[in-house]
Amino acid sequence: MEQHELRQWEAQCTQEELPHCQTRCPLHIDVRNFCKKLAAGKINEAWAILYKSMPIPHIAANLCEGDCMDSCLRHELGGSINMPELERCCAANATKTPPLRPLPSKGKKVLIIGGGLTALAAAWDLAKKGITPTILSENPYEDLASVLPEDSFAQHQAAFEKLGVLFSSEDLPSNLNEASDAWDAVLLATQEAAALYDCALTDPAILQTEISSVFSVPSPCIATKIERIAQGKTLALSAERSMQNVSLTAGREHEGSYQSRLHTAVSSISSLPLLPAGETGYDEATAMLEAGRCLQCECMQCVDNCVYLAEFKSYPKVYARQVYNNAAIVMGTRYANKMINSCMLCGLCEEICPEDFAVQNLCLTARQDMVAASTMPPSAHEFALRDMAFANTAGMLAMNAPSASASTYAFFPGCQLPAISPHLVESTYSYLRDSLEEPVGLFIHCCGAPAHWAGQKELTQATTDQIQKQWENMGKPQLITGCPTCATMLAELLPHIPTRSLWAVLEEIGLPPTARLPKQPYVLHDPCSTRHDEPMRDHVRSIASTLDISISEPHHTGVLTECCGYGGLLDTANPELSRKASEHRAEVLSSCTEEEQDILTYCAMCRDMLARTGKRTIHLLDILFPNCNAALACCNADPATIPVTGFSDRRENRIRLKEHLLTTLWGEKEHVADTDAPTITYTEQASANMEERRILRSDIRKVVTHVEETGESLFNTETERHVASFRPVTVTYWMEYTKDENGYCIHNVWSHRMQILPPK
Amino acid sequence: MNTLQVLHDDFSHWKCTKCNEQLVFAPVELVYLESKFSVELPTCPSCGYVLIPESLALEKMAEVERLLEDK
Ligand code: SF4
Ligand code: SF4
Ligand code: SF4
Ligand SMILES: [Zn+2]
Repeated sequence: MEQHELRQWEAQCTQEELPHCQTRCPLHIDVRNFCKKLAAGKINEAWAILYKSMPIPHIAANLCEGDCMDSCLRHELGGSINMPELERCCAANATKTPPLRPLPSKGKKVLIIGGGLTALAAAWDLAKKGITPTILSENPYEDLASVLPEDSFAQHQAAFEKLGVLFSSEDLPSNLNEASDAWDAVLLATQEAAALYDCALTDPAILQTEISSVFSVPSPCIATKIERIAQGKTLALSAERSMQNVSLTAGREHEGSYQSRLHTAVSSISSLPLLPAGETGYDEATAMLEAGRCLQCECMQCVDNCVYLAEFKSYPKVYARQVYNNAAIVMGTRYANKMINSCMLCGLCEEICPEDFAVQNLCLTARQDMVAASTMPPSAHEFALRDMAFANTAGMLAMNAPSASASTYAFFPGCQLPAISPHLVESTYSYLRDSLEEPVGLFIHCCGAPAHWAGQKELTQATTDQIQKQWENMGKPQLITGCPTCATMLAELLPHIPTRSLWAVLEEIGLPPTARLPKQPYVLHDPCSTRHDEPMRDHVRSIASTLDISISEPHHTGVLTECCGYGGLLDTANPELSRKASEHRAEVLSSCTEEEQDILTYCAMCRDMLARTGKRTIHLLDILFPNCNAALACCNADPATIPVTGFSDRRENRIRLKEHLLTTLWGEKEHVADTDAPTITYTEQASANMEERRILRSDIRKVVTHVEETGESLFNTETERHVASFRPVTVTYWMEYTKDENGYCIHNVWSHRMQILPPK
Repeated sequence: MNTLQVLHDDFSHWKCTKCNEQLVFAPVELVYLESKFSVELPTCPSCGYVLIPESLALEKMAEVERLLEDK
């Protein structure tokens, strides 16, 4: 990522923008934090917040008319936060005022012509900077002494004394040019003074006049009290900069009120009425409650709707910075690797974000960059990529319709359906062949999604090249996609290959008469890969309606659907978070109806990911093709209760399906199993550990073969069990086993990636 | 290179099946992603077969692997 790209990403996320109250307030008081402190009863800390950004705080806090209130997001939800009363209560009840520490004197002096709020505020700010102000006015406080609480006025005067603000009631200078020579700067702080000298404003935003060291309020000047105080602040800053000979304008775009870009979702917030203030204003307890009505405005909408974004405890703007910094590390630990590899790439954030921040693009590009720079952790995606390689070699099948030399159509079930429900591939394929007049081939291949998600551009390309070649060999058939991810991937990576979803075809040719007609309602889970495939989602709903199935839609559905926890290879890169995501989604689906309903989905992977949480889940094909096939190891059980297919079973299912179809449909000779190989059995514990540790039966088979060939193993004389290891390529597999005339019994397995160099 | 001691249990009840020798601690080199460590591990003194116990693989080794992958 280049630095300008980082800036673009950062600018897109508004989470760090100030809340509307604060940008609306001419003084940019941190209203949100002020309310937070006040609501928590921390009145002195709240007072310190005002004290920091308010000039003449003892006066300003008592006079504020609530400029921010017309922009407060509470406005329509019970009434804007009553800041004027909160400020007054805070000023009256704070017991500790932050120490005033003016900077050492810079030996500069400024003449402020005219009194009132602007003059006093300018004097406050200048004096704090170590610049000596003199207010030239016969009545600098106007009527303030009479409208302010006595204590506040006294505190103000004490503060001014400490700051060394000077007052003068001499005559006004007759010549402004001469005055500007005698002083380091001259400020015209009232519209009367401005009118008197008639010195034109050349830059109203920073109150600059045609005389370089003279700054002035406009004349006439219509302003609220806080705006007048803000003008004092602006005058002081302009004077200070002119004395320092630095740019008058740099970095001042956001002086005064402006519109914040912050987005805060308020649609689910309930109304809470404003608390009325009595004659003497709020007491502390009421002020706490009123401050507690503040929404603490922030965005976080994507984070609130994504398990992944919440997991890493920040928000996209920060994540973008972390991605950038991570890539810049030459020596040292890249702490963001896990974060980058944990996004499900589902695209929900982009739909939710008012600024369309697409975290999936940020993370996918980061992965591609990591792969290109050889900094991708080898273990992050290897297991899934090995599975893909297997699906595309041993599990791959590209056959024209039996006895046809080319196919008009080809069923493309994807690589997960054959692995999870091979019998559904067979029955669907058979139904398509029977129903379509033109020849229908079968093309079992992985669409390349795992390589794409892993950031492996070259591998993705190699996979699509292979699909392209096979597709040409089959006579360029239209592909009938059974997996929503395949449909998305093919459209993106091989857009010239004509595809149609299985659901569109089934709708057209009619549903199989054998379809089970369930008398129960389902809650529908849209796979996240259908987010932008409205036609597919509609076909599925229309099939459900033809079957007379009543469907409930969860809170997040259609374009706002959530990932099942598999997307982006999360289950390989961060299995704990993947499980969390599945559980979250299952929970969303459960809670959308009063009575618990089974989940219906149309992606084989989604089915298993949701079923592993214990939620009863079925695939739409389970309804359409209820007949099972014992040859494909399927049992006649209720499909919602079928356990999740383990990693090894998935591989074996692919092979079994392929061999079964080749013999039954294409008349190939039955493959005779290698009967010489020793039998291997697994204890329950060993099987569970294999799933968790991602060790396949085929990996253990290699260790056994190695033991058979070399006779090498270790023996624990206490437990009387053997241990042996083998390293096929990048991982060393270990098995603990016993052996008798029935073969090997595996009691435990483990693995590591480090390589052992045996002692010389 | 310093030889690390990571295992403190007794492995004298382990034998190499092929050589019929008792395993003894010996310095073994472990390599991952261009990093090399020397570690004392139970080893067959005759053929050099090294034992990596389950706990070592799942805890310490896994942790070091993760660390090196993020370097
Ligand atoms: S939705 Fe997320 S990315 Fe978009 S502005 Fe809000 S916090 Fe930032
Ligand atoms: S609710 Fe609170 S943070 Fe939001 S605009 Fe109003 S005062 Fe500001
Ligand atoms: S793409 Fe999905 S998983 Fe990734 S941040 Fe966006 S919503 Fe979360
Ligand atoms: Zn030996």
